[in-house]
Amino acid sequence: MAEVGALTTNGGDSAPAAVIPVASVTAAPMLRVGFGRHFDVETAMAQCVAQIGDVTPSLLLVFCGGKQDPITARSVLRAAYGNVAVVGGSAAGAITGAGFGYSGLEIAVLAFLDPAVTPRVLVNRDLLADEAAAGVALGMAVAAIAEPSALVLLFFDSVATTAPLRLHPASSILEGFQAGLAGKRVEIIGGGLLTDMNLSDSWVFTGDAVERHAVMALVFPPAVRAATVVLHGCRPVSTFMEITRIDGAEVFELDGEPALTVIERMLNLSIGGSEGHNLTLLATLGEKQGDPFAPYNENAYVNRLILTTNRASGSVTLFEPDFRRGTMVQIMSRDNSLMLQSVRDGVAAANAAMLTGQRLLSLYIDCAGRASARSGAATEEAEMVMQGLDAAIPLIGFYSGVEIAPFYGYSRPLDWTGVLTTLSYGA
Amino acid sequence: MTDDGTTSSARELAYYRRECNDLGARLLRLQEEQSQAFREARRSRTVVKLLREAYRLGDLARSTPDLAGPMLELLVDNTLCDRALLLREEPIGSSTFLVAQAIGMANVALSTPFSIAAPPSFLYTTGQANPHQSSRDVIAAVGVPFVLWSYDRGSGHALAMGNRSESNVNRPFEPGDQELIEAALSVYLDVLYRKQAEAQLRQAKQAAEAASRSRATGLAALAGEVREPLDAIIDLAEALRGRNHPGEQHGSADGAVPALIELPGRDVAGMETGRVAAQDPAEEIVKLSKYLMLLVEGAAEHPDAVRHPVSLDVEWVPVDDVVRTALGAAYSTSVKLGIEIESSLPRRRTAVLADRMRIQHVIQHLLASVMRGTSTGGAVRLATSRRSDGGLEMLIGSRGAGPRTVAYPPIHDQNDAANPQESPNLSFARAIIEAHGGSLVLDASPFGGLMARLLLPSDNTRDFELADAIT
Repeated sequence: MAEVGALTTNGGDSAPAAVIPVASVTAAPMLRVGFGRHFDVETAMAQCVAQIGDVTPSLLLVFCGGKQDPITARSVLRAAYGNVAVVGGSAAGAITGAGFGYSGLEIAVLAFLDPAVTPRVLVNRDLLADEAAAGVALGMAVAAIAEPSALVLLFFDSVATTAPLRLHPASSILEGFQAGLAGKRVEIIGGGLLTDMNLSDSWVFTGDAVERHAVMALVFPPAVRAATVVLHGCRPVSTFMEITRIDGAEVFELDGEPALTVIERMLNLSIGGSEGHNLTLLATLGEKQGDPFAPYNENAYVNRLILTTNRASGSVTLFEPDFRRGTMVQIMSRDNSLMLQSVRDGVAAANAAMLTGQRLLSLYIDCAGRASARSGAATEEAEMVMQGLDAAIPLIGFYSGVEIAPFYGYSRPLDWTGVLTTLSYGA
Repeated sequence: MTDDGTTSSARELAYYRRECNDLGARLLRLQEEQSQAFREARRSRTVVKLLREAYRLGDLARSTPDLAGPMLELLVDNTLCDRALLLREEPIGSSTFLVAQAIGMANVALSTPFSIAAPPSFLYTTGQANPHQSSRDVIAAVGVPFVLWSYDRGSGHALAMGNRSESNVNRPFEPGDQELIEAALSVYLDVLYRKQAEAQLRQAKQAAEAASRSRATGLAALAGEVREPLDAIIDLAEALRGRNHPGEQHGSADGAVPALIELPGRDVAGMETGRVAAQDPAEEIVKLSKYLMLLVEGAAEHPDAVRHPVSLDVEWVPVDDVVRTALGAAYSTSVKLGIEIESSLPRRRTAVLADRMRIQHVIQHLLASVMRGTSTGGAVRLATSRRSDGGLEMLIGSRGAGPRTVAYPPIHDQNDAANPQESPNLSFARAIIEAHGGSLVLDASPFGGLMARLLLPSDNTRDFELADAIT
């Protein structure tokens, strides 16, 4: 692992470390956000550049609509800002204070203008081989440079393979990452990147390239702090059931019966697509943290979306492989009114959060399933976030495949959530 | 606890578990039905929203190439499809299609022509049915398996949407989506044709303006050429006038002419009527030449004067003065053509607030034009009267046996850009009258030939005594 300047890539054992050049900057304000949307990627990116202005960024974090050509998008940034490192990746949609959308044409760009708030970037490209091992390698690299309690943003491309569909499980990456940290406490926020809501593809900007199967960590200076609220929207609609047979993310049995049979019988509904291979948002499986018989609290649940169903084996495959045999789960129903109420409460909490120093940025990592087109909600909850936050604080966000946030004292992947983080700087 | 108690508690627990699960399932189904209803409503709104936004786009787009991309963007934004393409059959009927614009496709696909055998006007594909050959061709063109397609045979345009997964976001394509895809293609073609028509109009306007500029340049050059000999004519005419009337004080060129017209008698309506007599030809040559000089200088300065505001030097002018002068100027022509000129004036002596020189020239021009449309032996009548609203009406009409067929320049000119039916002189005359707040209408005379109707508003018309007081 090598580090030059503020940015370093971590290629694992098999790949040599690559150096990402860094521009020197001294300018106020510390951050700027640009938003663009156009069928022509150059025009969309030019809109972003126009909003960011004539600056010299030290790093660019980009969430680029999946229908846009990433190479061209990057070229436009290079033409505008020179050889600056570009990180981030594809997004099913983008969210900023100036606009939001999930047509796949939206682009959001965050320009870091001050070294005092610019994160150091580490990249590992070994996800396809072994997500956990990649997580370990990246965690070790982060442990070497991160101050205690530092804010770390994790981003990776969610789609491992498309035929058959397999995701890079965030829980494996995260478990490896925590192991690599070897006890060093950092605050981890992040999300899985997608090109669209159908899990068609994903890619990441890794400084000077566009790649797949890579995970990156943005390690912030200790002066940058974060306060995070997690916005939910599911409620339990069943009694507890025990997972009696599971392999990775594929749940075969609940209470000793085929999982698909149990779920469909209980709901009196068929779930999954016509062939059982399509993502269903009809129901999720939730694991309650803490006292299982405590009153309902949305913040107590880790929910898992059902990625696919298999009628032949009677199994359901979840987004993440972090449930175990013996885990007690409940069927959870998405509740749009609960989701919108959760957003109202969460935005109010974010605005009221006691933060030391200057508020720098609001970051919103929003599950793509919460978009109105997917959820059927009458209101776009991203718009509520956009309108509810202090307009003076730059906002950037994206529609994600999975969200990562601190949960019961330990960062873990979440489904069907919105992770709203406020970054501040200084004492 | 006894066995009975244990059994009872177990049964009670099972009961509550069952009820809990049933209630939960109902809640979930209700929630899903609500979501489904909203998604359906959203889809229903999509067509309307698409049409509204597309027509608005037609107002914003500058040209047809500006249209295809935004149109597809609207489609993608409203339907969340993975791909959208506008295709063009070239040549129409060949079954060979080129991608005119696409979203969500690699650039290389845009340059590849596609062959679609017997392209259907509408199709959609699902995972259920084995696609026909035409469906397979469309799928190959779009590059994904689930396609919604519409094709307009007459124009050769086609619109396609494509998804990688069948249930894209919510549900597969279905027959009901025909309305969406056909409406989108129709509105695109409507806006496209509108933009093409606008472009053609713009080109025609530009061509007309170029022709006008060219003519104006020529006119300015001609004016420059004419100025010098006209100066000489004026000098000679003034010398001749001095010889004819030694020691006489002559009126100035601004129109203060001696009363040379006799208007004897009155008609049955009590209006003055009369016949014109000739003025001193030298005097006439001086006046006309000076007026021509004024026009020449104006043309040199503003070659396209018709399109510029006409500057007026107005004063209260006696109408009989203007009429007499115009009749005097027309006299020699009327004699030459064998046409009698009759005139009548308002009962009360009337004055108009006008640029004497310009209004006089207009009347002369109209007289000349009407005479040119009158046969030998016919008559031209110039009737001036006050309207009921106090304004002035002047009718110059032919009373002859029909238009003559002589080689005089036509009063209408097909090449005039501002009004293809009107000659530049007439346009200029109209501009002058309109600058006075009046109007000029040309029509066929009930007696054959032409009829010109000149109206001046009441604000510009007064009894002569009142006008004199105002002055």
